Amino acid sequence: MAKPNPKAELLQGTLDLLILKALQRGPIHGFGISLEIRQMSQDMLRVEQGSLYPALYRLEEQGWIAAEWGVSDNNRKARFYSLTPAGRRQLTIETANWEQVAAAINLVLKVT
Amino acid sequence: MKLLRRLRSLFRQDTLDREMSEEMRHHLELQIEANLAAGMNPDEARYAAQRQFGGVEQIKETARDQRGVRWLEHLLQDLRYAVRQLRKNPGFTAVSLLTLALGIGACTVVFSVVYLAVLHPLAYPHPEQLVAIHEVLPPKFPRGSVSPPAFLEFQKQATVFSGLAACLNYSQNVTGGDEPFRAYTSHVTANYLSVLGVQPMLGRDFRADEDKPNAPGVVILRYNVWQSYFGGRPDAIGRAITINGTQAATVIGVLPPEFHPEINAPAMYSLGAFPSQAAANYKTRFLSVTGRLQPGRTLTQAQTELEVIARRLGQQYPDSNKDWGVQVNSLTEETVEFARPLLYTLLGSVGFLLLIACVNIANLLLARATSRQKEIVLRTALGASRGRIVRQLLGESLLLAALGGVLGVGLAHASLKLILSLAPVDLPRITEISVNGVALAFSCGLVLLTGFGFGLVPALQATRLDLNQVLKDSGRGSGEGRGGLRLRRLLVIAEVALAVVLLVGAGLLAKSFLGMLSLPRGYEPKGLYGTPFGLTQPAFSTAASQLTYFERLQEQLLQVHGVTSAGILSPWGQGGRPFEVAGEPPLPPANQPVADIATASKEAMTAFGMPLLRGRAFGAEDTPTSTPVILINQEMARLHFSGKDPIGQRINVITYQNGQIQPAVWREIVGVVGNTRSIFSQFDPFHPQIFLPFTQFPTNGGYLYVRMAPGTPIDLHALSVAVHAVNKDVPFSMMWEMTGPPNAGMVGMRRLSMFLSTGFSFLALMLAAIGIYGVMAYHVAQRTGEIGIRMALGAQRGDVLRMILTSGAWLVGIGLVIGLAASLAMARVLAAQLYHLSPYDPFVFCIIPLVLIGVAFLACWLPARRASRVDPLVALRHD
Repeated sequence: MAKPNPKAELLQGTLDLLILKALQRGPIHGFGISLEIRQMSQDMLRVEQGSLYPALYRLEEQGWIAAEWGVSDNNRKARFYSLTPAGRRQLTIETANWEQVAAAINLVLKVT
Repeated sequence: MKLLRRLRSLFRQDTLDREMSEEMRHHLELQIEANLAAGMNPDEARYAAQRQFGGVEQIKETARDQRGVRWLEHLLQDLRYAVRQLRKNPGFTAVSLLTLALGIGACTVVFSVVYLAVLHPLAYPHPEQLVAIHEVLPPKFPRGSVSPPAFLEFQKQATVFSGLAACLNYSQNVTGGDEPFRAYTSHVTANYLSVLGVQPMLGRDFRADEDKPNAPGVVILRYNVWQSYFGGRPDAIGRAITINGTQAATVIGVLPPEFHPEINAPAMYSLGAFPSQAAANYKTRFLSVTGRLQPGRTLTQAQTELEVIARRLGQQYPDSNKDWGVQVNSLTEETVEFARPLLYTLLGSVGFLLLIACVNIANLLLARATSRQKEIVLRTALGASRGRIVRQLLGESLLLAALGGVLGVGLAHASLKLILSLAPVDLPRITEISVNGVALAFSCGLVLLTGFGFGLVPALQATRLDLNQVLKDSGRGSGEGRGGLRLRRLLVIAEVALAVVLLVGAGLLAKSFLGMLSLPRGYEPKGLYGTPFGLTQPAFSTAASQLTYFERLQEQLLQVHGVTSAGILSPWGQGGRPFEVAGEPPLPPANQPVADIATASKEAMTAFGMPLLRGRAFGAEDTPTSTPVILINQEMARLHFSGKDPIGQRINVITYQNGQIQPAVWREIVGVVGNTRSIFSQFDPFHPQIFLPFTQFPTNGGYLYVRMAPGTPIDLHALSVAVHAVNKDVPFSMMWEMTGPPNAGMVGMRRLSMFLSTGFSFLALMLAAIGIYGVMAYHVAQRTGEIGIRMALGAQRGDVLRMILTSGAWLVGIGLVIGLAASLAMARVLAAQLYHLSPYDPFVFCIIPLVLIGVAFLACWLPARRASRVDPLVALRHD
């Protein structure tokens, strides 16, 4: 298997978590996911398309999200992603992980 | 589940790609709309969206990687790419495919023969249980036949066998078929076929109660006899036939076609392996005994058990069995031993041929990799890993190997018939040999082996690049790194060396075989025709009737146009008979001298043209009542009468009847004839021979010989009319010219291996020449610029020619020396397969290098001449 590109690797854990989180409220398409992440982070996080789609395919591959063709609000054909039960479990695990790591990093940063 | 999805995604490749494009387009459109909504003008909105989005293709590529079937995808991609590469270089592709097809084809064909003839020579169930049993008295009888009572004792006492059968083969005349025929008949015990595990295809097997002296006769026919003389009709079963004009018999079965299809195998099976009066005679050993071991018992157990019995017989019957032992051999082993060494030699030589083919293609690939260097550098610069490029190059060589393999199997299939027509007629299972599944699997293995074999080194070499070095080099056309050229030179040296080994081997086999053919036989084989011939009808049971018949036959045959002489010659079985010389003290049986004995008519000796060296030939004065006389050959005179005049000496041929020595009949030597080699031992040294006049010692058969006038073709029909004019029930169908050894047994194997090894080594020579030519031509092309400079600076054409030829001569010279050294080592292996020829035969070892040097010179000279014709102006502008 080819090596994943280094940028994606850097972001991988967090991006996956963000995507899963964005899908928690219901199925949305790729553009919607990037908007959702932007809005949820109050415009602080922007997901590049170059990372988004590979991540989506990877998550689909792992069985955490499922994709389906549907019709978008403006009547265009679009691919909608939704969380699978496994994805839901994964979201819980990754959220917990993230909280632990974030707490740990905060602890480290508070020293000095 | 995951794998399934991956595989599915592989086959849905196009759909997935399309969906991906669509999805991204959708995203882009939404982005544009968002930008428009944010107040940009349409152009600005589109441009910003595209910039934001980045390279669609890159995203797609990254996304594809996520699907996880990259290796398979790569493989298909490599294959597609390889096909394109092969089509782009038709010259290279054609040469490599041809080379490979020859190599793989030759290996497949020889393997197909070896697989059945050597590895599975017996078409019986559980062949590993079958054994051949001999009574032995080494060194005189290392593999003797078995006496009937010994066979019966073995059968009764031995426990290791599930069955023990015996047979005795001799020819009989059969009438009652569509026409009379002479059938080489195997007289067997009733269990013979069941011990072998063979069932008749039609009718039934023998029954034990039929093997009795006065039971009605029954026979089982071989398939092709049924076809030839019974029209292949099912009503042959139950047909009444007459054997030798007296014994009535019924056809009860027909054997399947694959049962002993050899021409010289028994045509008919009947009961009565031995007459009941022989059943107690330990001295007459004539049975061939075959046994089937009980499941789980071994050859050694059988040997041990039978040795105990044989020892007991030796104590019980010291007169006949003292010192006689027993030898149990695997039947498989005895069946293939004549063919195996030479077939393995052939397998070895095709292996070498394939190796040369691989070296050749590796060489071509190396040359091509050099010209593809820029492509490879570019790919590397664009980020392809070394492994990825090696994989791609290997994909190309595997594809090449696979295509070559397909062609090779086709070639093998097409040439198998030709090769089998050259093979000895008694090669085991010759009619069943084909390029079967096992041979196909074998060639698939070869494809993989060769694909990696010739592909790996060039692929590794091609990717071992220093980018800077190549980029620097490519300025001035010397494209190939030092390492590449060195490797290619090594390959050419290896190729030359391999070709030398093959050529020497073939040279030795050919010279040995031609030597066999050109042995003086003591007679002119051209124009001399012979056939087994016999009178077994009861009308010819008396000496007088036999004499009359053959006198009339000779008269009739002389009437046929072109026949200059015709007569009967009848050897007394094979192997020598003991004799004693009058006036010399009698010797114990073990020390008695032996000679080949034959009864010959005066006309047969004329037909052969045996020169009379001393004394007189047989004549009208030798009648049944006159003094018994004999002729001896030169070898006999030399061995037993050295320094004395043999004429007038008297000899008694010691004969036994039912184990009893017969009263001596002293026969006077009246003449000495030249040496001849008998048809049974054509390639042995001359044997001592004794000839008895047919007039004094008539027989009922032997070999009928006819000498045709030079230039007259034989007219079989006229001869057959002449034979049947004397008696219509005597079979006569075929005559063979005595030229050329019979294509059977060891001689046939030698003939086959001479043809094949010569053919293979010729191919090897051609391949090596292509290899040398390829390297030299490439070498010249690489140095065109340099040569141009040299010529501009005043070098003459001759200098250039010499320079190039010298560099070629080094390669060939080194290869030649290595090859000859290897041949000297290999020759020892061949020694056992050579007939009267030293494996270090100086002629072969001289002529082979000359041939090779000649061919190699040509292969170097063509590129060298091209180099010498380089126009300096053109050369300097080269690149």
